[in-house]
Amino acid sequence: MANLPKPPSHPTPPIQRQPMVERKLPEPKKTPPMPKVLPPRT
Amino acid sequence: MSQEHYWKEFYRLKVHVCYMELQLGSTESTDRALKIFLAITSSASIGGWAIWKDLASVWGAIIAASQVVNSTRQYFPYKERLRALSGLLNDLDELLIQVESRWLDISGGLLSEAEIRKALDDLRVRKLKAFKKYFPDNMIPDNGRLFQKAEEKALEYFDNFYPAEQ
Repeated sequence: MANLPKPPSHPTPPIQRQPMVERKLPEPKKTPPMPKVLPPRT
Repeated sequence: MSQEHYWKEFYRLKVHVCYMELQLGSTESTDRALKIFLAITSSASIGGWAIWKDLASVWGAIIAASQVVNSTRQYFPYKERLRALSGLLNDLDELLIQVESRWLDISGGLLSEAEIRKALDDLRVRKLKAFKKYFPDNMIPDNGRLFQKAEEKALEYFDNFYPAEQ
């Protein structure tokens, strides 16, 4: 029987959740100023 | 804070929708030009014009170019890109309508901070999914001139509908 690789002695690190990356689109240079708004509901 | 964040994402989405519209228009123009070129070079009546007797080598070069284009055009990305851009724009247009409607609620103080953050996540996820669906390989054509035009269009829209001083 072929030699099987031994399982790692240390625990496998948990898979890191990748940050959500948007498709690579150019970014707008500037954003127009936000108009006056009412404060969020509490 | 969340309101400002949502505002920026709303504007960003509008710019990207304008950019995709311009990309679609540009791709359609290229596709049309290619088809017209092939139609002209395959037209027997144009090939029979007397002018080509003096310019036989020019006509020969045009015909050779058209044959190269014709035999390689199945590898050109225009057809697939047209389909992808068209589908993407449908999804993004729908998203933009909903985001704009949500912005009116947010600016009117109808949503709490937590609800705004959730709306922001929803916007980002749906936008990401739309791009992944139609451009899974991330082959979005890059065109700085068109992007600048898209920004101008978006700014014009925001100046009209959301002037800073209200």
